[in-house]
Amino acid sequence: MNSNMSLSWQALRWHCDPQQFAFETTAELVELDEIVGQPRAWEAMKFGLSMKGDGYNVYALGPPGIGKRTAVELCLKERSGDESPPPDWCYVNNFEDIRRPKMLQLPTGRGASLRKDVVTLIDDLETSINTVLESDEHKNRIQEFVNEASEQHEEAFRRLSEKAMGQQVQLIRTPAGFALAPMKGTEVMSPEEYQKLTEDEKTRINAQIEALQKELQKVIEQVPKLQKETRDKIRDLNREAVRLAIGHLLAKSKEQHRDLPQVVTYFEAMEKDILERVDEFQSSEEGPVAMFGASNPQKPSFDDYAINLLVDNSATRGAPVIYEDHPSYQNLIGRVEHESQMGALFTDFTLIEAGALHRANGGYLLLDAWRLLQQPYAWEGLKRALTSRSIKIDSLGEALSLVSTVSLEPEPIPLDVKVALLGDRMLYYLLYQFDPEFAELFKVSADFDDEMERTSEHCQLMARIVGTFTRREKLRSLTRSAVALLLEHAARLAEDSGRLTTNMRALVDVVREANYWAERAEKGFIDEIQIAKAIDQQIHRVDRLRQRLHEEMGRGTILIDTQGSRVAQVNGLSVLDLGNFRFGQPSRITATARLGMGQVINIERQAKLSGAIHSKGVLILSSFLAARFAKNQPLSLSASLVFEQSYGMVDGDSASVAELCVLLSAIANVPLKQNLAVTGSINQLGQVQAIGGVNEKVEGFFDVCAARGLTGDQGVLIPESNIRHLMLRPDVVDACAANRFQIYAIATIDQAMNLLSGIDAGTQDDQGHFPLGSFNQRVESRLQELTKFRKSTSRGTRSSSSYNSDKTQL
Amino acid sequence: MTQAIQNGMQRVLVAFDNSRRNGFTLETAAELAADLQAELYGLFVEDENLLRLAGMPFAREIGGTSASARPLNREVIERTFRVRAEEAKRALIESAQRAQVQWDFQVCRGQLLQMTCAAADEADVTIVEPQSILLNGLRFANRLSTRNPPSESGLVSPGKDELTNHVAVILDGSSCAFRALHVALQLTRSLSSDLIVFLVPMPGISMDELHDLTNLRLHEQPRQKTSNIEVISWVESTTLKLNIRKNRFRLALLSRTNLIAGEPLLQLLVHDLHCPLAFVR
Repeated sequence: MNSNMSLSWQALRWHCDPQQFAFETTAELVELDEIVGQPRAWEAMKFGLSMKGDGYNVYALGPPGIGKRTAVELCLKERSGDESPPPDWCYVNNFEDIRRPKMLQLPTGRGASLRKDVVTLIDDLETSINTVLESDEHKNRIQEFVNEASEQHEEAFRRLSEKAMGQQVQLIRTPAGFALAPMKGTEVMSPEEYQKLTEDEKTRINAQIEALQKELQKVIEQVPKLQKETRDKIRDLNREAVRLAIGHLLAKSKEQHRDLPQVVTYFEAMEKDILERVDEFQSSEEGPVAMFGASNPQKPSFDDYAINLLVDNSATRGAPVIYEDHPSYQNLIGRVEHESQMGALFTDFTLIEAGALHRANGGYLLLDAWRLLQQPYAWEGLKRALTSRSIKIDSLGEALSLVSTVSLEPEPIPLDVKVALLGDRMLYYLLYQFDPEFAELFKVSADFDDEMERTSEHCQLMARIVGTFTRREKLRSLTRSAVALLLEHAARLAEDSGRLTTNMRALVDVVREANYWAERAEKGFIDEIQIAKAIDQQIHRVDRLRQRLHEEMGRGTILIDTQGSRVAQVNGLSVLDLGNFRFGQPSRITATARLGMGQVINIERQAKLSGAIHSKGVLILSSFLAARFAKNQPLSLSASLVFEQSYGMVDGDSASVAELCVLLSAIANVPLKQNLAVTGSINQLGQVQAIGGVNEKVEGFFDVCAARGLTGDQGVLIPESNIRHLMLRPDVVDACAANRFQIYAIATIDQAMNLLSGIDAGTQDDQGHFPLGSFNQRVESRLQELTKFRKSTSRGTRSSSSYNSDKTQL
Repeated sequence: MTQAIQNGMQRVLVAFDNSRRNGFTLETAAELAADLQAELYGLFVEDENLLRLAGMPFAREIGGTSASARPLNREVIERTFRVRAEEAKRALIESAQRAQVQWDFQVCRGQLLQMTCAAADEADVTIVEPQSILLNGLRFANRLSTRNPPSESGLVSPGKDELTNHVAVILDGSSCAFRALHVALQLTRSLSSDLIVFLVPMPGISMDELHDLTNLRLHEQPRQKTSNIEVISWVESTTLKLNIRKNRFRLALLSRTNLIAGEPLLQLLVHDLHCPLAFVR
């Protein structure tokens, strides 16, 4: 065994020395309100949030849990506190067109006071108007007008009636009006009596009645005219009375807000409207609508003069920073609510609701990009608002013809806001690629790193962040040993012993759970035992599948050898990713080699279970074979490779070293050690390259071996370039330290063959020959035998130039 | 012995004609009948004058609102009478059932005033709707209103909600008028409403004597604590009118003699009284 390739146990895991921390527990640490290890993103955010100009909005990109929102909020906290709070915004009735309410921009904090003043004013107006209109004096004056008109009309009727009676004609009521009937004595003449009259008498009566009818019509025609005249008189009277009653009230309000011309104009419009509608205020009819508790839409309400304070910044300190966690179209842009009254929908300017853009206007708006894009039309609405620099509330239902009610079109409000979108990288690149407006509107990207350098400074800062977190969450403090173990976990999550993860969510979850275990153990502090337990328990909760697979390997259902040697069989290593948990497991890879036309068949690919990268890996090893062993002769080889007992997709090239080893073993008929597993990708030159998930892969084989009993000669071959990524579990490190398990770092395929076969691979001499008995020489000899055999058997036969697309031509 | 016999009241007559009804007239009549434990009797008079006119070749109806002239057809008039009579009967039955009083209903044809007066002779109290043709025959009024649109006939009256619960008695010193006061007192006790007595002059009795006599009668009757009673002497017609307009009475009671005579008093009252009138025998 090449012991020089075996790694010392110290290289298998970075050990964080607790003594580097000067504190006993994190309770001693000063709070830290800053983002660690994200200098690029931090600078980008500061630039984007400070930069004036259209489109300088920020997209903070990075994986979830990395602290993007915290970072943006911290950055804004620094900035927004120094900025002035934005103005208040109100909507008021547009008396000339109630469908288009007007907006009022008011100095900060004036909105609330104006609303309060207007509420009082309305109350006073209502009282004054009602008092004056309901006063006996006013009613009597109205009654005088009515009586005057009534008497005029009655007098006309009376005169007509008397005139008719003078001509022996009676004015009588009919179901729908009046009629004139000739009299005989005190009764109306009967038709029979009329028929007995002479023609002259009939003609006279007819003429009399016809003339009287015309007069009657004139009298009746006077009714509408008299009514209108009376109404006009009453209206003028009402206006004059109300003008006197409200004039001083409105004058006082105008004086109070004389520094706001918009408000003064509004009061003037209010006065004009009240005087125009004064007759409607007088109405006291109580129809069925009112009986059901609903307001009568025909009758004006004093609410029409109220102020809808859309945004009140009286309590805002600095520029507002708004995070909208449900960025639907309406929550962003605002909405016009409706009230149902007896099944019909009504709305007015008081039902206009502010959206997040209104609240953030003059400040900053934080949105989750993914949530935003999930909401119909929300993204379009946001872009439109940013492009037009105004907030125009449109009803989605109306725009999509989902509802047929007439809604409002409030006057747009000017928009001045910085938007910070929080999302992952994929979304950013997709938006950049497919939405031309995105690049125009989000010119600054703050790219958050997944990990940071494991420097002493970062370790100290991480300790302070943890201390700050426990203090704010009212959790127990961590001892320095606990912090050290937490940082080791951070390195493990970063899959790099020289780096630390920036995924703070994962780390604080461990701290929260460790606090739980400390509470259960009645500990005053969280020490490394609780941290270790929290990590173990996190894994234990999700490792059902791993346990089942290892059980099946132990029972022999899944065939994995951990002892002995086999020709054309090797232990490869793969990683299963379940989303919230991933683990490594050994997989048996086998190969067959026989006389053929230079084909390496990837059985996974044939079965459409091979991903593109895996197929690429197989092509590379085919190319390696050709380059090393078939420079001057055709390869008369047909070989097959397969992941045994694999029933799902296989992807990645991390098994390509193992696949090449097993292929060479099959060709040379040399057994490979089954107590070793191998991982790594290979290039055409036979160099071993780094792979991902090295820790999980090593641990996967270790677990299987440990379950069967460690023999001391078991181990894993990993790429040399993966050494710095090793952050193995403590139990694996302990086994290696006790020489019960080995980790070998390999740089070439020859080193792998040396370890796996126990035979020196051999190096080509100047003539291109390998030393006799070396592994490579055995491969070369076998290939030459196959070539000779092929030549002897193929004499007279034609070789085909067409190949199956699923086979690799060597 | 029933209260009706004690009161000597057996029938409350409601006089209908082809004018449109106000529901509260019937309600008031039914309540009064219940208070007096009397029968509610409806009489629909088909106006013979109108039928005669409709038979004339030149007969024209002038629309109360449109002022347009249209032929007056006897068949249409007959049909209108039938429909209105049926409506009146149905309404009377509903009101009687609600008030749990006995009821009867008759339709007759003739001169409106004569027929009504004849039926009133058989009734203790006769109630006429405020806008009935009978009363409007006395006033020809096309009252103008700024609030209510004119009805088809051009006549309007206040809605029920615009009336108060107050009861008025027009007391002229006749025995019928004092019986009206007696009925009014009974009604105000039942409705817990206010009573206003208008004293009007009558030959043979001075105003002071009438005042004393009224107070005497009022003191003889048990009083409802919640009811206010006010006695107003009729000094001049303007005072009376103003009081009538101000109070918007639910019901005005007066002597039946006023109905028969069609006196100036009644002509004066109907201008401003828009409540049902109850003529007491």
